[in-house]
Amino acid sequence: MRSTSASDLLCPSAQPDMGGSRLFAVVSGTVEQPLAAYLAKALQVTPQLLAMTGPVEPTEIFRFAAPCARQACVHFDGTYCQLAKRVAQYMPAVVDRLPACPIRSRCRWFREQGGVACKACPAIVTKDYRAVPLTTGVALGKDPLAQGRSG
Amino acid sequence: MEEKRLASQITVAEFAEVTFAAILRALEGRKVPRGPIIFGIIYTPEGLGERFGVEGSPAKRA
Repeated sequence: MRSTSASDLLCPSAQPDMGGSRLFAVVSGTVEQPLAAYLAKALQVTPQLLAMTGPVEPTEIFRFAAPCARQACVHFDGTYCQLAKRVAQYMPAVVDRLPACPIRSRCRWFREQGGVACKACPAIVTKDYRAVPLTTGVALGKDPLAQGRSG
Repeated sequence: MEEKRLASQITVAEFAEVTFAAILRALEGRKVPRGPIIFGIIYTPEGLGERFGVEGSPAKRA
């Protein structure tokens, strides 16, 4: 089995128009408690697939994985993904077992933070209109605990 | 005994149904929006320039 180098790692909260993007989960659940359902195999992004989302944007309901943008992304500190670190540090586990995720072997969040990130991952919505203050703090890199207190 | 919280795995056959439920959730979420926020890749200005060219953003490019 080929080992994954750091440059091959995937971001699990990517955009569909990024090169190499794959759809790996659908965020269902409820407005208050979104919960991703994972595909057995990640799908190639096609215009037909994106058109299925109809009145909402694909990133409101789908999760895409694409090669980590590294220095081109504000979350990358040169070595690690700080977003992954905040997810593991602040976001609560929403599942008790690791989801059966088709991208785990190449996921930067898992590589750097282990299963703690995976147990919080199903609650993440890439474009989120109803983000709670904690999620907003994690997403934007502000102190999530301060966000929680103010919101 | 406490029930285990599990993320589900879906088949291709279930994909359309789950997607439809997800669209309804997203529409419901838009009724009283707080955001939106983008959770994930946010390009640096340099990264945007590399990705979309010297003009810097898809909006400008269009």
